[in-house]
Amino acid sequence: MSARPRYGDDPELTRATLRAAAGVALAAAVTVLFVGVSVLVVGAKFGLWAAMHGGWRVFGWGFAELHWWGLLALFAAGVVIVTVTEVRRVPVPAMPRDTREVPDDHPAHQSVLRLASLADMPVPALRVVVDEQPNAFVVDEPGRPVTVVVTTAALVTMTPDELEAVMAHELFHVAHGDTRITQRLERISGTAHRRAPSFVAQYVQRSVRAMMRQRELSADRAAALLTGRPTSLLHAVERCTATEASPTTDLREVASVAFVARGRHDADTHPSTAERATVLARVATSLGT
Amino acid sequence: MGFLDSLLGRSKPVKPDLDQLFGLPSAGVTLEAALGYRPTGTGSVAFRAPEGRAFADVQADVQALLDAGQGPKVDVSVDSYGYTWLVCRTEPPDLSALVTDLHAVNTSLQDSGFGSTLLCSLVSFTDGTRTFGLVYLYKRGTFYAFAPAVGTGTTIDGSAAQRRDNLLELQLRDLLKDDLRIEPEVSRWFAVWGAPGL
Repeated sequence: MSARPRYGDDPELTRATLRAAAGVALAAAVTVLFVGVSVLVVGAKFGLWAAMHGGWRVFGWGFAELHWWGLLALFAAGVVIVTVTEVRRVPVPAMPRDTREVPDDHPAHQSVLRLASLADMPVPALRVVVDEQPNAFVVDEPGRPVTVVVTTAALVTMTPDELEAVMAHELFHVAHGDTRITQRLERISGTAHRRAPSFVAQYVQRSVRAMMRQRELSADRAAALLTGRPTSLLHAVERCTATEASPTTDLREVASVAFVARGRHDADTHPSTAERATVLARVATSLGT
Repeated sequence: MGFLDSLLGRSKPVKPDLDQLFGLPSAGVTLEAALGYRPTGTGSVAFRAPEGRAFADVQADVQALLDAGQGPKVDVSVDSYGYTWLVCRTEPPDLSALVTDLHAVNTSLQDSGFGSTLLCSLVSFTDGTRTFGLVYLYKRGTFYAFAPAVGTGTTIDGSAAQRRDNLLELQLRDLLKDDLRIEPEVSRWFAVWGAPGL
């Protein structure tokens, strides 16, 4: 028995975060450039028009200059307002319909309480939704407490150890603020798709998705360190990805962080089972088992 | 956790707060005077041992640790949630000695790098018919009472019904609020069914 660091820094996540930040900064820069060039082009047109209609004093003050500089400013403001509105337009994350509260004395609820006490983390609400794929996700709907939703299949088919591992993973999504971060980045990435050239949009999307995958791995790592059971977490991942049930509940509209990818919808926001196993093997080594 | 820590996924381990335990003897005096509850002499420490290590291994390691520091003798058991319980007994029941023993166990675990795995400590009290445990949450530095209800019969499949005596738990919260720091979020008062000493 020797002292071992528990969670500590996650250099891979730091790198992925910086890359995503660089992607977003690049998108912003290109958008500004794009706006600047359009303003100049339109400005030049109006300048020409003004020059032809007697606005001689370009650098002095006169009716003609006011006229075209004013139009320019209006146009630039319009572009800025449209872009900002697009980024801010929230795809409101919705709780799936027909969820039920998991009773207090359910083992899943009890293990969440224990884990939250072990790491002194906030206790999220816990609800269950009918679905044939074992899975769990965090829903962070404005005006509601942060909620972890598990599917009925997860409650029925998983062993207590696996269920606990899944709960720990979701608890760290809550603690790391992953729902909010991913929602914002997805919005920026979506705006880049409409406003910026496609190679920039693709770069932004790639770096944002890479960061989301890294956040999954980070939650895995912290969860395995907290429970001390990396093997159970890997078993849970394998069980969830092995089930190819057709979803009975439409969870696509739920902007959330799920335990495993839900079909093609978010395939590239989740790391592969092999990647997760690599991280968990490292945790197992650091636990000295 | 700060914004940057959460952005970069740095969840820091929480250090346990061990000193609050020394509030227990005065709580014991209050309990006996007000409701006639006396300590049973049993106390336990729950922590999360990492996987893979054989059960006997943990027991031997922990006892070796305690012997090295002239600590008390402990029994080890594992509950259905996978937490390891170390049980100390004092005969005849002596709350101050028990708290000193529990503190020694905690300090040994913390000194050997298990501080972040400590879940709770439990000291049990009884009035002859009803028994309850005072649970101490290390990471929160707070106490709450866990009281299994007496004589609740069986469920439909024949297993013993598990019900909590919520009234007693709340009564104890009000009684002990001057002696101990009580966990304010009642939703965090998790059940410890079958914990050693209950």
